[in-house]
Amino acid sequence: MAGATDLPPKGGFSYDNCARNAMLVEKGLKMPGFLKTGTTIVGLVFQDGVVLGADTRATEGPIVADKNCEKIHYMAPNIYCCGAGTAADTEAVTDMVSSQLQLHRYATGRESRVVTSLTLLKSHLFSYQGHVSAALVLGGVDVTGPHLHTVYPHGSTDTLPFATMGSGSLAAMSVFESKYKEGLTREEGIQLVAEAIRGGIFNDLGSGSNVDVCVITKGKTEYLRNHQLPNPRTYVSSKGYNFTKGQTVVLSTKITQLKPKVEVTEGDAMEE
Amino acid sequence: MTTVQAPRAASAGGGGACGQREEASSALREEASQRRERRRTGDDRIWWAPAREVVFNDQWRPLCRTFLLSKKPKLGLKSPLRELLLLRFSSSTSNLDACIRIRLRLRRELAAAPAMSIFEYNGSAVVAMVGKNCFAIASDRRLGVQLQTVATDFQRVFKIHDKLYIGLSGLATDAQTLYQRLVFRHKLYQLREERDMKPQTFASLVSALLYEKRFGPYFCQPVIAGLGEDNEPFICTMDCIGAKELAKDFVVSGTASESLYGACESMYKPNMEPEELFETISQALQSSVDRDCLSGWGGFVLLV
Amino acid sequence: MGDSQYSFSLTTFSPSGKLVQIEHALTAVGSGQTSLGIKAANGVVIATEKKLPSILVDETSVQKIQSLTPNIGVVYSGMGPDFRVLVRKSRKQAQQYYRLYKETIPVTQLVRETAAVMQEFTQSGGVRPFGVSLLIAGYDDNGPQLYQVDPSGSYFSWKASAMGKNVSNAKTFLEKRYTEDMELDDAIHTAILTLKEGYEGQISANNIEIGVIRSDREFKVLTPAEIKDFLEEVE
Repeated sequence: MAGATDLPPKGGFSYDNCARNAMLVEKGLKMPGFLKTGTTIVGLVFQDGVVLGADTRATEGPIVADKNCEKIHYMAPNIYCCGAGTAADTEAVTDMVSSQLQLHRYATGRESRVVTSLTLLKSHLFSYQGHVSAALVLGGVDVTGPHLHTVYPHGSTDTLPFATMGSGSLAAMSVFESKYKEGLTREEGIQLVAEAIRGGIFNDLGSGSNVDVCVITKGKTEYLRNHQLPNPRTYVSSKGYNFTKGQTVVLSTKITQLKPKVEVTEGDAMEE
Repeated sequence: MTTVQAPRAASAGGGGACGQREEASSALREEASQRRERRRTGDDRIWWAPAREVVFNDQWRPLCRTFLLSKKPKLGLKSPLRELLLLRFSSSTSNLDACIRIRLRLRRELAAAPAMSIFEYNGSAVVAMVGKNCFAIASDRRLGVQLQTVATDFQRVFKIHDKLYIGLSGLATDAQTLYQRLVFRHKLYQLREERDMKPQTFASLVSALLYEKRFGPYFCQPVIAGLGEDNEPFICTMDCIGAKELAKDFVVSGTASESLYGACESMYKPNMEPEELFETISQALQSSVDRDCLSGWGGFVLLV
Repeated sequence: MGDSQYSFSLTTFSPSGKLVQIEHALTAVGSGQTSLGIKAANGVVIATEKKLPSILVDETSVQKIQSLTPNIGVVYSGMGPDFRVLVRKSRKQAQQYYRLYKETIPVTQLVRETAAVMQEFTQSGGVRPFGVSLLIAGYDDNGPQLYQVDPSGSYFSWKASAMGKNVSNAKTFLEKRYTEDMELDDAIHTAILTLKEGYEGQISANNIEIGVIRSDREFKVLTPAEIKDFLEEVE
């Protein structure tokens, strides 16, 4: 820790614990796994915009940690980004870039461009040489038209009319390869994306639960959270478990009365 | 005697006349170079010879210990097994076969036992549930060092303010450090902004602190539970590098998380009243830690 | 003489206990173009005159009112370039806060951070104080708020305030017109009238700027067309 004052980070990573953790590994303890997004994420360009899609399963090893997580991240009002890989990395990297884009918009007074966010993303990822493991599908519509890119954890990028990423990318790509054509309508686009995601949900064990879709057109963005729910919960007992009161053996009970908050009626913030 | 051959070692120790330290260590060095030579030529059947050499002579027992310790990381010995090894050695006779047997057994055990995760070092179980205008957060009370129980009144659920609690599962030392940092940051926030943190805001702060150590994480999985504005319950958990996972029903973490998932998944019902919520979370916790040897020794339930 | 020999370093107090450079900075503000702000019951308005050095300057390229976050806007009197620096720092600060807490920065916090930057420039070596005063208008959980920040780094919450040239006249005018239960539209009218009072020449939609924040918490700089509508209402 940096001295006695543990002040808000100015950004960047801290490597304080690395030496200790390496020692623990040396001693034979295993490093823990992180929350992953297993994931099928896809995107395609249709006649007047971009459709992005994602499943909603988060995994931690073989355990499904979250059955309905959000993998389509906000970058700018006209740009969204699907993330696969380590959940914390995709979340952090998209947040950071969206913050940079916001500042850039303030400075320029213009709408963000997709290539700008692409460049910011890839330069960050490249500088960490793949250790920040975020695989992304970036899509948006800007002044130069609709764009779709994929970004790999090492910082390489592709520009494609249709793209898939994550563990379910093969299943999803097979759907795209057989059915994608140029000049799809909005409805066809959404349908194809949902079908590709369902391909991932049902054929890839790392993906599951629901279909999220995001449609970006010129001047309009629609985020269709849980667009389809192909895996409803079917095993709920109607009654559930009922525990009678006092079944649990209690050693001691302490009841603390929460203090009502004192309201300052006249806030008079003056010179500090 | 400058060359210590394996069959002659016992008699050398027993003879007593050549018990000088210098001589023994030079003998060790000699032995080591011989061993290297043997390994190079592919004949490594008795490569553990130095251990035998020192162990048999009671005088050199401390040296034996150091030797094994320094050797340990390379062999990847885990501490209980190392103790076993030392014990056997110090009480051993000059029976070479026994040594070989121990060594072989150790090798077998090491190959069979998967490496233990750092999360499993102390053992823990933390769970939080949402009820109707209330939430409960619970944890076990065991602090262990691997399979050995050290304390049975360990606190894993901490108070941030009246309506906000955090449960930290995983490595106990990191849990306490993280808690101290979080309290510090929350107090600064309170002083600066003259208000308590909202649970959502606090979760983001925890996430930011954890992600800052992305490449050298704290081995903690936090569970955050609190009442937000209008006393709306909020629970969330994250992995040790700050990937938030928001849930509407329950969140679990710790070594007992797998059984907790199962228990909560079947026992949880939406909109429980506080009394029922208490029973549910307690039963879920108890039944889960019973299936986890690393957590248990009673529980701690907090209901707001 | 007198204080002047102590003005070589801004970090040196004069015997009378003043930091002369800060006084000079305030003079720079005082000779800047007039800006004002009014906090109404349901929002805040900030306004400024936008006088350009020559008619040949394209007035659409000059923006004196800027937004710092979606719900906080700022206007200045004094030196334009200094203002830009402060705006950049404040925006960055706001983004930093957002990235830490995933919550928009409260107005008081942003004001405090901005004031801290300005204070730092009165106590550091090799720098000079900012030659601007700021009026920061925002709307958050604590309702509509208006703050003024001075080059010394001191800040106050105001119901209505003015700065720049004609401060005293403008403030007297505001004191006369201000009422506690003022609605935002009234406040905009009052702002325009106050500017008009002190303006040398004819005010038009192109030579004043107005920024408004209502209870929707969206800070907006009015377009010349919108200002024109308000000007017509005033007349």
